[in-house]
Amino acid sequence: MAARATGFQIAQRAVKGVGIAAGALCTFVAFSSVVGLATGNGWARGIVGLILTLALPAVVVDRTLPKPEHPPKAGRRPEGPHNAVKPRPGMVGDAIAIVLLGVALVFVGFGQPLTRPLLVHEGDRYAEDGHDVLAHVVYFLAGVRPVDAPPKGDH
Amino acid sequence: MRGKIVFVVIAAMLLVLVWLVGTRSRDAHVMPAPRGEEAAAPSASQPVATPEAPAEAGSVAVVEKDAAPVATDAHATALDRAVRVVAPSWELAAALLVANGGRMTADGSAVRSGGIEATVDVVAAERDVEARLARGGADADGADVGVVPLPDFVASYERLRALEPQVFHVAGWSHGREVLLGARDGMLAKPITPAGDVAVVAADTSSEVLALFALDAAGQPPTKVRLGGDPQSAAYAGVVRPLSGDRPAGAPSKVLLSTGEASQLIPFVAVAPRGFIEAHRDALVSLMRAWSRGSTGLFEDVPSAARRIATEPGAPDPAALLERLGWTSPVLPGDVATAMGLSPGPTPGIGALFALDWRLLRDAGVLTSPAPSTAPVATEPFAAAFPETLGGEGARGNTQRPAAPDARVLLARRADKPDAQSTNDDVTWLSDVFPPCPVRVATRAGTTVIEVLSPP
Repeated sequence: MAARATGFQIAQRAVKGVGIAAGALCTFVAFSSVVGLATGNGWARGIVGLILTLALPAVVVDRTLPKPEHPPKAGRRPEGPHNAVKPRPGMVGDAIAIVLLGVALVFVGFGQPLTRPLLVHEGDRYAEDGHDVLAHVVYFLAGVRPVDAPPKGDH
Repeated sequence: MRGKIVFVVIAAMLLVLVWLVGTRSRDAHVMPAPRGEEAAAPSASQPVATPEAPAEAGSVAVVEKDAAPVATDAHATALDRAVRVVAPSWELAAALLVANGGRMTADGSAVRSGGIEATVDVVAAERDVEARLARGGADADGADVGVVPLPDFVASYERLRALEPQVFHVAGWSHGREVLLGARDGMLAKPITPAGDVAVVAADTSSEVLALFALDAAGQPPTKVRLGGDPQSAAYAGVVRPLSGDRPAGAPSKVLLSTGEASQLIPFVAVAPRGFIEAHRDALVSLMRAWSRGSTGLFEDVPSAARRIATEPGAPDPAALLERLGWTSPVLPGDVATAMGLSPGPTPGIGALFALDWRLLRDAGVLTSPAPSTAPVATEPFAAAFPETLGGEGARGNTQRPAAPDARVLLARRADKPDAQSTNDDVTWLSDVFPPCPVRVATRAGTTVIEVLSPP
C-alpha cells in the first residue's frame, strides 16, 4: 500500500501541475505563432505547435534521465545493482515543468517586447477563425486589451 | 532535498511568469471580426473603388458612390496601440481633444467608443510636427498623424518626401487666423503692374502663402516677391493671430485682407505616412468618425470645451483658447467630401490648393523641386468613414450676398485674357476662395478687372 502523501507533496504536485499546464499553453502559443510566420493555415500551426510542445520536453527528459552505467549485452536483460539506476520520483514531471515554463518565460515573459507582434497576429488569426476565447487568451499573453471592431456605418 | 530545490525553482518560474504577464500595461487592440461575418456585411475597412489616379497635380481620385466595393486589403491590419496625433497649436487639435476626452483617451469618449485609443500632443512649432512624424507612432516621442495648415504641409513635403505623407482628412479651415498687412490702405484694390521685386515679411508659411496668393492674384507674381528682410522696409507683412505686441513701428500695419475673407484658402489637414494609412485604415476610419463627433461637440458648446482643454498641461487659458477657436471654422463631413474631391461643390479641392501652394512657394524660392505628379491625398479612409457623403453636394460654398453700397475693393485682378471663359473661370475661382465676398467684373480705364469686395 502506497504511503499517504504529505501536505508538502500535494502542494508540490499542484504547483508542478499548474506549471506544466501554463507552460504548455504558452509554449504551444509561442510555437504556433512562429509557425504562423510561414503559414496562416490553422491545422499546420496547431499540429506543428503541438508536436514541438510535446517533443521539446520529451527530448530534455530523455537526456536527463539517468542512464545504465553498463549497457547490457545484446540479447540479455539488464540486471544487477549497477544497471538498475532509477530516476528520482517526480523527476520527469519536474523536467517537463521546467522546460515548458522556461520557454514560456523566454517567449511570453521576458521576450514579450520583441514577440508581441507575433502573439498579436496569432490572436488575430484565432479571432478571424472564430475562436474568441483562445484569441482573448493569446491577446492577454501578448499584453494587449482586445476591443471589438467599431460598428459599421457608425458615425 | 533536491526535490525541494526543484519545487522552489518551478514555483519561482511560475510566479515570475504570472507577474510578468499579469502586471504589464495593455494597449487597446481592435480585434478583427470572424471571416464569415466580414463576408456577410460590408466593412468600413473595405475601400470604395477608385478610378484611375489623375495624372495632374491639383486633382485627386474621385470615389464613386455606387461603385462596387473591392475586397478588403489584406495588409489593413488593426493598430495594437494608441494612434499618436500631433498638432502645432491647440485650436488645430481642439476637436480631437474633445473627442478624446483630453490628451489621453478617456472612458466614455467618442474615440474609445470607436474602439481605438489616441494620444494628442501639441508641440511648439511645425518643425516639431515633422520631427515626430519622422520618428513614427511606434516611438513614444513620435506620431502617426499630424494636423497642420496645408501650406505648412506643402513646405515640409520636400523634407518628408521619403515618408510619402498624404492628406486623409480636413479638420477645419482658417478663418481670420492669417492677416495680410500693407504699408498703405487698399494696396491690392487696383491691379498691380510689377515694376520690380516687392518685399514681404511673414510670420509663418500660412501667412506667407496668403500674401503670395493675394499678390499673385493682384498681378505681382511670386517670382517678383522677396521674402524676409527688415519688417520696416517691407511693403507687405503676413501675420498670424494672436498679433505680437512688439511689432516694429514702421512695419506695415494696414489690414488688406485675411483668411476671414479668403476662408477657403488655408485648410487644416490631417496627414499621415502612406504606409500607415494603408496598414491601419480601420483605425483612421474610427478616428475620423470620432473626430467629427468631437468637432460637433466642440462648436455646440465652445466655452465648456475651452474650459476642459485649458486643464491640459501647457494649454492656454480658456479666454485665449476661445479667441483662437474663433479663427477656425469647423467642417462637416459633407464639406470634407467636397474638399477631398469626393463630391461636387464650390469648395476648392485640397489637390488644387496643394498645387497652388506648391507653385507659389516654389516660385518664391521656398521650395526647390517640382510638385509631385499627383497631389498626395488619400481619399479611401474618408470614403470608408463617411460613405453617405460621397457624390452629394457639400454644405459649404460661396455664401456671398449682394455687395453693400459702401463695399471696399479688397483685391482687384486684371483679366489677362479677353475671352469670357477665362474671365468666368477666374471669377469662379475667386468666389470659391472668398466665399463671403461678392466678386464682380468691372471695366476700369478700358481694362476688364475682376474685383473681390468686402463682405456685406
